[in-house]
Amino acid sequence: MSTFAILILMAAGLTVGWSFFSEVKLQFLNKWVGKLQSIATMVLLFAMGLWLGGNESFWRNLGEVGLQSAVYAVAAVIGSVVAAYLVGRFCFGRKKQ
Amino acid sequence: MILSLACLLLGILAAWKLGSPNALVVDIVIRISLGAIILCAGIDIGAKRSVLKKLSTYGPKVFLVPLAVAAGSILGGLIAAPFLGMSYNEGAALAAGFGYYSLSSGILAGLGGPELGSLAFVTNIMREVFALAFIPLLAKLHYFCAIAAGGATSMDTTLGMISHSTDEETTLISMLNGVVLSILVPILVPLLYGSVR
Repeated sequence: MSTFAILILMAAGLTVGWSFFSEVKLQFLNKWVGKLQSIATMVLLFAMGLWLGGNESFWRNLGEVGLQSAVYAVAAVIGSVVAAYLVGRFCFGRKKQ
Repeated sequence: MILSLACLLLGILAAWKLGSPNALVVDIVIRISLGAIILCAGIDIGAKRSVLKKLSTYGPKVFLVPLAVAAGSILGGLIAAPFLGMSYNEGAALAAGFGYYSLSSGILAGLGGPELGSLAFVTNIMREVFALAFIPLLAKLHYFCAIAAGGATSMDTTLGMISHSTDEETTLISMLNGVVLSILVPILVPLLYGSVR
């Protein structure tokens, strides 16, 4: 999957969602889109699991994956919280505390 | 979230016990499901026309919130990368998932292989879990901090917690923040993975 394909698919989805799925009469369809996305996510993760389970380097680096993901998650949360605090404090005034 | 995690574990167990399947088949399945995820994500965001329209009435200043959240997250990933022995482009791309685990893990599985994809999955699920745990506390610091922790999930899975911990105006900004960040995920993740080295 290339970057170009990702952007084209996203743009197509946005166009379809904007033009059809936002109509009040058709909003029940959104539930099905959500369901399809959940199913596709499960299929994707099952396939990634199959690939990982048969991959020797995955079993060697299992503990490392857990540590790396925890550090990235904490780093991203701290970074965004600090940035949002600065924007809130200095661009939106003293409110909301 | 728990179902997806169960599917990942099931796949790992199946390959471990029954042997690894045909790599080509797995690759095709990954590509098709990834395509479906991106398309559905696009439809889901596009259908929020009322929220997107409110964006224009708010004035440009409100965009500072998602932009700050995006910049702060990516900076966090860039700082963390060398400590974990990974390259800057991987760190930035992982942090640019903003908690949207299905989309970011799909994109990174497609660009960098299933190993990076699963790392993106666990990283962004953890972000969602940390956000849910700390939003009440962060809201005491500043309401925007509660939005920031949620990242792209501030429009759906963490929205309830944010609205509970903040006020109505912040809840609306939270939805706008989630929409903008969700649109940025498929743009920033490939861009950062491909160019920041």
